[in-house]
Amino acid sequence: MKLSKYIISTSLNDGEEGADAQRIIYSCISNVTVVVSESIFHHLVNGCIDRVDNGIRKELEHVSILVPPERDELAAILDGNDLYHDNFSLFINTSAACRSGCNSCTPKQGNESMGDPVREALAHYTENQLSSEKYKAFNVIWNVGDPARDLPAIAHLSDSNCMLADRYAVLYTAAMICDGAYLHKEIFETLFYRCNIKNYHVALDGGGNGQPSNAHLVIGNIVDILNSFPFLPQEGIIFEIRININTFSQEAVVDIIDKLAAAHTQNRVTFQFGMTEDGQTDAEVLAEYEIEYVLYAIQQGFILGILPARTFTACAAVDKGAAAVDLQGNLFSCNALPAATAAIIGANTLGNLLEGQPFRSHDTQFRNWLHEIKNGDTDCYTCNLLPVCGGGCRLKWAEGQSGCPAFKYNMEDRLILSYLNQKTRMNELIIEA
Amino acid sequence: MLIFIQIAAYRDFLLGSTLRDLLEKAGRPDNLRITICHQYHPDDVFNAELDVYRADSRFNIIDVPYNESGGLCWARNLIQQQYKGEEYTLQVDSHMRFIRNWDTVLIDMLLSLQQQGYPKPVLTTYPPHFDPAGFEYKDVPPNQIVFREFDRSGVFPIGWPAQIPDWETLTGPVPARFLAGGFTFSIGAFCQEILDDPHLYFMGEEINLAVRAYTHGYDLFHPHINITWHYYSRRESPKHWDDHAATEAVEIHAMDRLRKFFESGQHSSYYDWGVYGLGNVRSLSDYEHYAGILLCKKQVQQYTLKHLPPPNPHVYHTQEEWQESFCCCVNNVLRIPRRVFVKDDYDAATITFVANQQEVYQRSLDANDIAGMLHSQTDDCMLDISFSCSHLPDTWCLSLHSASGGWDRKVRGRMPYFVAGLGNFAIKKCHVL
Repeated sequence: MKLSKYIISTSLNDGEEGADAQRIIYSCISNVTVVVSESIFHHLVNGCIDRVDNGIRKELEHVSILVPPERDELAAILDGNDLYHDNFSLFINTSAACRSGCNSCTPKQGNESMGDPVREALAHYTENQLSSEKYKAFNVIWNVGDPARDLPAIAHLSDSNCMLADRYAVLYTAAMICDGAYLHKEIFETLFYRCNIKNYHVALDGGGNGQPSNAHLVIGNIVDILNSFPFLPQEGIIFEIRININTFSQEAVVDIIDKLAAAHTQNRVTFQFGMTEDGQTDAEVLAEYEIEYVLYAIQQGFILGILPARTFTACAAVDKGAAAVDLQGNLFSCNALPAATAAIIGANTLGNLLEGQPFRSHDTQFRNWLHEIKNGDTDCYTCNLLPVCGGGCRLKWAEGQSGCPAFKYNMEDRLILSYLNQKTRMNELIIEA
Repeated sequence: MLIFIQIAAYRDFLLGSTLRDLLEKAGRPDNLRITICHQYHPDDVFNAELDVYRADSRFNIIDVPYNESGGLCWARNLIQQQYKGEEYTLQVDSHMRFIRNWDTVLIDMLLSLQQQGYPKPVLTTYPPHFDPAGFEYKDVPPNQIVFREFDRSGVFPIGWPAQIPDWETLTGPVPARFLAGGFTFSIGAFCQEILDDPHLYFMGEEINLAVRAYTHGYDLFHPHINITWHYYSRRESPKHWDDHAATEAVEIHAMDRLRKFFESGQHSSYYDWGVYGLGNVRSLSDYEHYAGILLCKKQVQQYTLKHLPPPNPHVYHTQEEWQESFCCCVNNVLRIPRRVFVKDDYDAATITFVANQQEVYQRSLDANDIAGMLHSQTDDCMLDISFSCSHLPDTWCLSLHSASGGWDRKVRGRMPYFVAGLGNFAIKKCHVL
């Protein structure tokens, strides 16, 4: 056996006097974390696997920290990624009236909505895809500004989607990205119960570009919604709040978390910490702040994903079964594409729904991402995080930026946090003062 | 009178001994027609035990390499395709023991039910446990299947074995709500009318069969004497999900199908059920009245919770009154970290259960209850909880009182089924090796 290259490890100082030095090892393949002594870790990294106790060796093999010596791990990961094409995913932009101000958003700012011809063409496109019987699941992400204004379009298309999912016996799930400032409970009721949209990603912006912060409106709406409906335990986390931390002060971020904690929303709300996509996002800077906010949110009882899971496709851009649709019926492989250069757009546009078939699917530049990685054309070729990031943001790589996710720069901290969380069950228990 | 015996075996070292016992204990072994879906691993040495039956005209052995198996429901469906018009059918697991003359006893029971006016009876139950290492044949009380709770994904009701009360006075089978996949005996036509749904995986198969059987005009009964024994747990045997990747995704699809199946009783959809849908002799609502279980609303009647035999009495003047007789049911074990109990003189506690921030149940604990919790040898203290309520709680809140310090700070935690549904948000176990 050999030590897998797809591991992350860090020293663990448990704080107990006289305790042997220990190390946490995380397998990016099995997503299992183990703690071993430093001496065992020393044997592992130096190839002295036979000096490791047989029982521990077997366990490490079981969780893919030790792998057969002849295994080409990169090929195994990429082959595994290539198998997952039984999901049909649509990223649907129904309007261009979001006031969040994130520059990468396809709709930009405007008062347009998806018209009937595009809606009808989209329904036909969806049926064509599902009737091919290639897919076992159908996922929709609604990218919406004002959900009230777009409700008729969303309801109409949702009815069609649910009908098609039943007809072709595929699992249907739907989520929404929206401006939470307009997500009133009456609108939510229709979206959640009739349109089957069970998860909401709401971006909070601290203001700027001449617009005030929407935080207080969003928080008010979310609390109102959570107090108004009898959610089932199995409905789990409903709201993911993305806080663009470069638009808020540290105190303001903490205040947002505190307000939602005080309203006892910990079972239904989680957080994602990011930065506005203004071309100057620095993942390393984000990583530094992110881990502090993650820890704070967990201490307030919120549930946050700490360690990334095995990712078979980085995003829709590289997923052959996915497409983003804009108001004009253009099909893109990436929702942020319209903000890119003309050359990148041209290489990755799939077609236009109003112009009919055929649509490009497999031969766009981004869709060949796995081959590019396999050929060593990217840093991902040697990166130990590939199984859990899938190669990151393909668009950023194309634009000459690093496409690595923020967790690349704080994985060791995340390992420690995960270990502490498991030991103390921080986000399972809330001990009131 | 031939009996079509269906046995789906997955890498089971007890298959050979089960077949020997089946044949030795049969009153008329020549009337048995046994079809086995033998899902095997080439390295399993016990495979050879089947060789003695390969030339036996009573046996039809379908060999399937383990990696080609589609799971339990798939295997059972495959077996049912082999039905050739036998008068009776028995479906059992591959790890069983039988009473002497089990076949004639079952046939006599079925005939007596038909004489009582049940043309399509089904005899079924969760048999008592046996230990293969030291099994003694002796008379034991018969079991019934009682309602325990809805599963952690909140889709289907879970049945549990319990001794039939006053079984010594019984002279015939008792009506049943549930069906056991591991022991079902009926007329042969059952194999054609109630085919196992291959789109289900494992969980939920039995309630699906029970509802379909009932709506197709079958009547479910528990035998009033014990017929078989079943080996539960089986930790030493590999399961299908141990050998196959991505079974979690398969299970999610199966649960979606099961949920749609229950909803099909309330409204029509484009979902094509083929031969796997509801029957037209009785409705889903008829089953819900009979069993006292609302399959879509996940609620049960107190009569059902008390394990009283169906059909549930209908003493309601209106449909609304009948609906209001149902409640949610919690039957679980809370694991509360030991570190919460900071004092050693706790004498009382209250634990409150909350659904969407509304209290739905409260229980008081005395010093003995607390001592019982602390008695656990693990890092967690265990508390058995069982109650009915209007809404399923997502959170519990524990207040502890000590003689020395009065009331402690409150501790809030999440219900186990809520935590189980967190997916990638769940606390990842960190194994210390």
